[in-house]
Amino acid sequence: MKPMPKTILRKINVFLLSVILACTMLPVHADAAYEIPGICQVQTDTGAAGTVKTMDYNYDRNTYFSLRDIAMLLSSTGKPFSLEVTKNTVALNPGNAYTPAGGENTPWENSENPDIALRRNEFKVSGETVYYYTLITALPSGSYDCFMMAADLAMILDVNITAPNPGFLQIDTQTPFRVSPSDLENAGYFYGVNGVLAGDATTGEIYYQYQSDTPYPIASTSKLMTCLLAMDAVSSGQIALEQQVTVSDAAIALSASSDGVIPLEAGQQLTVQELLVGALLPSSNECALSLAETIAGSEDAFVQMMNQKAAELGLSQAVFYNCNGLPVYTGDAIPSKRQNRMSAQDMFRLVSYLLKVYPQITDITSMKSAALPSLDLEVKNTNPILHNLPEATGLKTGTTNKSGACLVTSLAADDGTTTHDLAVIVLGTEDSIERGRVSALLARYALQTFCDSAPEAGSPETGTVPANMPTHAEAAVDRILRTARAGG
Amino acid sequence: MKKIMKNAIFTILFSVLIILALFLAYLFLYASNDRNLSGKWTADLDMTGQAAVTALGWLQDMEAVSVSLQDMEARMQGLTVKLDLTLEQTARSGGTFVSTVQQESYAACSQAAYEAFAAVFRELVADRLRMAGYTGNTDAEAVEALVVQTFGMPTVSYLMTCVPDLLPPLEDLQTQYGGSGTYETAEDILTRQSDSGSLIRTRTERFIRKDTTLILTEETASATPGNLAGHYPMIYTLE
Repeated sequence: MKPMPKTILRKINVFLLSVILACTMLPVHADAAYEIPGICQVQTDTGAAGTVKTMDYNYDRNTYFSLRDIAMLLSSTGKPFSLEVTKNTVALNPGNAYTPAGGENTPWENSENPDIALRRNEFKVSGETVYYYTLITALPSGSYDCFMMAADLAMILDVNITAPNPGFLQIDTQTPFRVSPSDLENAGYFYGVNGVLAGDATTGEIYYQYQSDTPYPIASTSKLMTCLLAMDAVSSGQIALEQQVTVSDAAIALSASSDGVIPLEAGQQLTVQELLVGALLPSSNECALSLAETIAGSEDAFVQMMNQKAAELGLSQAVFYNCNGLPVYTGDAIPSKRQNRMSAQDMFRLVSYLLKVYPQITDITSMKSAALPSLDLEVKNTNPILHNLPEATGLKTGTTNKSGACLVTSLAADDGTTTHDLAVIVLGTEDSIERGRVSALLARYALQTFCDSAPEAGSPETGTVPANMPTHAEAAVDRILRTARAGG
Repeated sequence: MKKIMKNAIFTILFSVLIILALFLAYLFLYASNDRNLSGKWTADLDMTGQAAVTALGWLQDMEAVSVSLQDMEARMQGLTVKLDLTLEQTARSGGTFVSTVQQESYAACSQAAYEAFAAVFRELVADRLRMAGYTGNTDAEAVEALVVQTFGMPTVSYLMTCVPDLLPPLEDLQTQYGGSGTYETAEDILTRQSDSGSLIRTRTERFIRKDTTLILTEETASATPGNLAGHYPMIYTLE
């Protein structure tokens, strides 16, 4: 083969350098993300109306609305809110008067792409720290504006927002926010989501389900089964929460790998309680492995226990290959990639059992962060719902390429007489943004349905049983356990 | 040798025949020949099985803890309701009868059943409290206090109020076993005919009387109203 002439090589080099130089000078973006500025006409039930600036993120009608424009519109209604926006944070106080920054309810001054990124920004809503995926942009006046999804704002303000026509938004300030999953399903909202389910874990009543009987990969939500078996081992006296566990070589190797979450070193010891916290909050795979090895002697033996427990609980679609939900390859010449799988119904049953028998699990899963004294380390909870919904009590996130983003959420719902645990199962969403949104909407729906169906205080007795007295054994035990825990 | 064998077999057969003849004579002379059934008879209706099954069915709803039917029956042993049967012979082979379920006995049986039920329930609740990480006292008294705190009433009262009845209602038992009317005896068959308003009910049972014991068994040929099959044979004692 003849070598390429030097002149041709030189020309190629010059061309490549020119391209690189042009790219650095021109605003060319390597990623596909872009924002489309637009406007929307907003009408309120009190007669206030006006123009609201919007930004469509990545795709048409994936619309985020200007909070300043909406705050200005709602300032004369019964749902005003104050707003302070900095480059990275937003303070939003419902009920407070809004102070205009200038330029509200006017169209964009120019149609230039504002070039801002969708981020999980920190909000202070009535002083509480919450997180929302929003777009924050600088205004010509020097102040900042924040662009938010209508449903997120509707949930914060507890107002009903509808979009009767494209480019038009109706805000009913006197109607509380309501979700209809069946309407969302009909509109294709759950298309691409593997399976969802929302229901009352205390009674077993299912409020809404979509593709809930088909098994899908569950990623790190598998650790709920690992923790259930750990709780079983504690309650049977096999292990103690304070028991020190020396991490194994396998756990250390996992810790050092790309799937490692908590840095572990040879000879380190953690308590069983710390392993539970590590497995549940930051989703430590090495902590889950340490629990499995402590309880069953080996991960293989523990996986057998997981599958046996699944059968005992009637989880008909559940199959476990490991204790943490990571992909597992077979040792074949052409290895197969396997992942733990469950249906949303199976997960609901597992979570219901866990919340009934071991309600103390929410003492762990409801923590936004926790200390691991043995490692002198603080770990953070990966559960996004925990911050945004005061009723949320955990439980577990999970993500792999195959499973998509999964989230299992528990909520404490109180009807004034009794407290129930509600559960929302979301399997296989596109990303953590969609996972959070779907879970938040279904959580609101679960709370809404629970409140709608709760008997009114002082309702008459039915038959010979006094009102609000449980007639089923598990419900009776649940009430007694809650009394004991409240007293304890 | 053969002769010895024949004698032995003959002797054995003869002995068996003699014993059978004596037994039949005994039954003829003493057991079945006592046709006068007059007196106040009392029988015990065993409620253990029914109460245990009902209690177990309710408790099976509890997660993670369980109790077996054998254990439940063992805890509910001796649950009986007394049934009075007063017979007064007014003719050569018949007379009048009054049959009633003792109310006090029913109340005592019900109380005993619920107390046994409550004890098992408290034990299972104690197990669940420990599983839930409750570090307080879980003995029977402590659990009882938690129940009172939760429901505003003791466990027995809660169970009596809110869960399926362990015993059939007294009214049902009275309908099933009680009544008054006339009776007749023929051979070893007792036929009772009770009248409650427009409804006339006939019950036919086989009976054996021995001294102060009266045994009523199911007469398969008769169409016995009500479902008594589970309680036969009924053994009455003369007061």
